[in-house]
Amino acid sequence: MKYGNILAIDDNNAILTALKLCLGDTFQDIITLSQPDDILTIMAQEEIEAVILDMNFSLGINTGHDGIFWLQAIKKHHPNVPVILLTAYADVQLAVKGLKNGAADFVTKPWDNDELLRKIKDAIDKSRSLAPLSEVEADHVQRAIDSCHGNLSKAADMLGVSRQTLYNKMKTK
Amino acid sequence: MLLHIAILIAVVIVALLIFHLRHQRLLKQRAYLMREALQNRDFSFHLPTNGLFSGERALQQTLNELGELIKQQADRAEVESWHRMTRILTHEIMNAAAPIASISQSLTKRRDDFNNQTSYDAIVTINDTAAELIRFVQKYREILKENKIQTVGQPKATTAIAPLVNAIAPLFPQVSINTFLEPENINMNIDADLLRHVIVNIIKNAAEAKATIIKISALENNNHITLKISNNGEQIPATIAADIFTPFFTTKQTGTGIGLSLCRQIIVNSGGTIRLLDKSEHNFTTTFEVKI
Repeated sequence: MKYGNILAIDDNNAILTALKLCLGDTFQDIITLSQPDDILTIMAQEEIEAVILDMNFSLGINTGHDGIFWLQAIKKHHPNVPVILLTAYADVQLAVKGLKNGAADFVTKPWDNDELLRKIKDAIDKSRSLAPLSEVEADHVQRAIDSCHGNLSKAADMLGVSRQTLYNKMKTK
Repeated sequence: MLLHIAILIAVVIVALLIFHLRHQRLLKQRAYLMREALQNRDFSFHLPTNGLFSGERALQQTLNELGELIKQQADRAEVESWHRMTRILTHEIMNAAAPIASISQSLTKRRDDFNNQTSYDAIVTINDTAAELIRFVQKYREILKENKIQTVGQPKATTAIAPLVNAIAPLFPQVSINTFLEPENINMNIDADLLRHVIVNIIKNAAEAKATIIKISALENNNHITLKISNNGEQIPATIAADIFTPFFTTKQTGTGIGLSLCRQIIVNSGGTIRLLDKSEHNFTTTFEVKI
């Protein structure tokens, strides 16, 4: 099996059953939770490759913590684990808010199994591949120069290097 | 001499008294008629204004208009509550459909888990039906999204009826459409696309009811434009006449039940009313009336 464990959180058992059936063949283990309270505990104990988080929380009412709260908590403690959101059919606004808060992707209910699988795989593949350092640096340098409208001295100042160093870096691109 | 004058005055006073009492009785009759009309949900009453003094005439005119206003408000409230209920129903249906669709989809990929073809066919059927249900809800929502309420302060859209009907006619070669517009260039205070949607829907239903002739008439009175669309197709039975504007109601095998309920929503949101007339126009079986 190519992929590791999935953690799925949903207060609807039918959805958890559907997810287990849909993803069972592709992933090592599907760990399910009906309540969000144990998310971080489980993620500390188990090796989780991706999280599926249902945003339609009625449980959050008791603690005052909603889906976005748990999304932020997960990203804070495990920034490299992709989170896929499960949202209600008409809840595009919430989905966009989730994306802005670090979710890798979202899927509305009802979903197509193949599409869900593809989104999870893509999110995992993306988080697995780390860009080489030189690429990250070149990207950063370019952004600094753009923001200074081509003024190299100013850009070098911003980046904390001498103008000569910056010039050399640009030459080797 | 004085006696003659006194008798004259007495007669005049009596005559005035009699006139006054009769006039009051006529006014009471009017009040009674209007109350009866409202109680029977007839909001389109129009009592004549002859034989009234100027103040009374103004009152009667306002009361005539009031009937329409009440119907418009009632329709709007009903449409809004349908809209709200549809939103909630959609939410619940889609939530419930999620595990049904996903699980049945997973199982259709596990042919070997099934002992026989019948059981497998059963799960395929469940999957197909779930997909149909989902498609229906999606389609309904897409159509609902298109329909926006005219907000206050926006310049009111207006549409010329004649050119609109001319553009629609070629879509229905199987029916002949006759128009009677007074005046020829009469306009209706509603967005062109929305009015087009409504007229096309009504004509389409008529064609499906095997109509061959459609009569479209429009005239203006009291600041309202009344548009009547009549056809000679199969009559709508009285038993279902009340349901035709209800969301999801349909008498057709592959009908969605969206058509007329959406038309009603469009017209009501544009500040008008739409109804199926109890008595259709002469020589026709069905008449729809749109008033804006």
